[in-house]
Amino acid sequence: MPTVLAVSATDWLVVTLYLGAIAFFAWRGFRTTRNEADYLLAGRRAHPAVMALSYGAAFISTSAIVGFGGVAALFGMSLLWLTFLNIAVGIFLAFVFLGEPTRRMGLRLGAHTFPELLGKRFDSRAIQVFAGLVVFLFMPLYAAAVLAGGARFAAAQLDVGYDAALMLFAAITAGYVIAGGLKAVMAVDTLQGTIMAAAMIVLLVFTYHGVGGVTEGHQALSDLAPMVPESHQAIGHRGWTAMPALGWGSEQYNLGWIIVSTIILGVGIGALAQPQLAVRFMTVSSGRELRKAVPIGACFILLMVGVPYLAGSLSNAWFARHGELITGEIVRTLHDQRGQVELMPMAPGAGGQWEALADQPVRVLLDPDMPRITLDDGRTLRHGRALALHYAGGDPDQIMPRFITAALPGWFGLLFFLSLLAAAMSTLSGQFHTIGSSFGRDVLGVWQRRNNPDHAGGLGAVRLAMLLGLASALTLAFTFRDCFVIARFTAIFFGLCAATFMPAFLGGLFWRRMTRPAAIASMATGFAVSLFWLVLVKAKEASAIGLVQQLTGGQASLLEDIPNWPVVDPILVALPISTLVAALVTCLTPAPDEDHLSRCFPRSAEPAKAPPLAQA
Amino acid sequence: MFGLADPIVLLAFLLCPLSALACVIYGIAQWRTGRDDSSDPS
Repeated sequence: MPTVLAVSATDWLVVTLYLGAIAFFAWRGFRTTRNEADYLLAGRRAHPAVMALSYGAAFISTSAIVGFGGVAALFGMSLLWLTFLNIAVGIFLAFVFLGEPTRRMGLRLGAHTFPELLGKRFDSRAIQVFAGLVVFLFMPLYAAAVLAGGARFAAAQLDVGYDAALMLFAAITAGYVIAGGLKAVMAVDTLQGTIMAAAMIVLLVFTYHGVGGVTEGHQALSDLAPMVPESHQAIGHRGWTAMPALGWGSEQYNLGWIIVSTIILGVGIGALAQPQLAVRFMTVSSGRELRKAVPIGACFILLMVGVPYLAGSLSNAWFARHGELITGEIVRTLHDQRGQVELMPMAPGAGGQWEALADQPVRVLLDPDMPRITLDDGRTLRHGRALALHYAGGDPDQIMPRFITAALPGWFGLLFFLSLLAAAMSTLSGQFHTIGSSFGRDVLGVWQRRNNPDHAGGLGAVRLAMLLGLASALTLAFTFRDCFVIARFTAIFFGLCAATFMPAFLGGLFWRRMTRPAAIASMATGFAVSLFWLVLVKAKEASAIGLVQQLTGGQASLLEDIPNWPVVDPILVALPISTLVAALVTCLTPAPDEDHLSRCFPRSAEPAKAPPLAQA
Repeated sequence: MFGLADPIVLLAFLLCPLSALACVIYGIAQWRTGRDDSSDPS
């Protein structure tokens, strides 16, 4: 089952039209950008639908579709809790309760970036510079992961070199971001978000059709539970339609902690403090516009997060029913009535004799309609089909491409390809924009204004910083191209952001009493504890970084001998600590200046709408 | 129900579309009201 896309003239035409539309939006963004508010906040007058799609498209990258789809194929539908959290917290709570205070405070204080919002709320250049530096130094890790994921997929699909795909991909994305700023980014995001949503609707329909319907497909998946690999059973996997074992103090709860802490809480809650997402709240003109964006954001996330999880999980049922037949000798019965066994794969050799193809048996669902083969020595061979991971060559990232090639009509390949390119580009453009604005405005800009208070700022530094961010992301993507660590960069950035920014961000918006020292202390603590946890304790990230092995003589985690801790996400450790520090220091330090607070939180019923276009 | 034996997974499966539907209803209400309450409530 090849996964390389057979590119026809029509395909090239569609791709050319797609790139032409991106170029048009870049040109239009460039033409209509007149000041910093235009370039950094799309003029603060974005349409609710554009804001919602841009927010969602920036959040969903290629790895969210391909990677998490593959994870769902391994671990099942318990991941749907992340979809629910993304809708309930990441969209509804964020847009309705977080978005409006963010937008309003940003407008009142004249903040154009997330670090500037924090800095102005706490009246501290140090906070703005520190937040800007965290984004500028660490977001390229996340950008490198997205860049590498998109380039690897494009290279494999089009059968071109990884380096060429990487360069082209980065150049196109950086081109429209640098030229057209956030206006171009959000317009392109809208186009890309529409393509992505259309692809997911088709994927959902064909997936359920392929497994015989909703209930039938789920039932078939439920029935496969005895085929869960032993290594996954050992960490608590109880089937693709069941929650993993939940508890503490034993290896058998590791999967539960991976799913609950890393995937559901780490990503579901961690998304709230992502600078590239929070800044989008400041792009609309009123709170009502934000609330109007809720339905589009929710439906988009339902499709983009929910469908890959369903399709990934159900791909097991599809392959068990339609996958390529495997012939072999039964070495173990897993479930007699359901015909689930372990087969030692065999094939006829050169001399016509049946020979073993592998050392390890494969778990298959026997096909009762296929005749048995009886060998001369009396052994009987049976035919069956394995689960998705087998057909993906053992690589979870290949499950979704394999499933789509095998189960969906050929024309969907192009739509899926475009949707994955769109997913990667929309995330990457938001990252480049945030990296550029963080360094250009929050680090360099603060430094320039410190030396010359009359310095007018300007977009030159922002554009230059975007190029620096692009260069560092490209360098990382080239340097770590074949290393496991690049796949962990996203988790590292999410982990750092959540604990570093969330207490200061939420406290700054909702707790008038919160003080500048408290914000500084909580950010520093959150950053330090997250970094410590990621580098030395969280086994996947720590072992990928490699420092912990050097310090401990080969261990993957400082807490390797204590069950469950090495799989606990830093958000569960660093965020409570940084929140506690924020609360304690606030209580121990004098209340902020009332004049400053009145600028942040007005008492009178004065309007907080975006200024007219001429003044924006 | 729906072929999902584990009630916690079934709950997640149902909550995803229902929460999106609730968001759609909420959003439609916002689109229909002409009120713009972006003035500061504090």
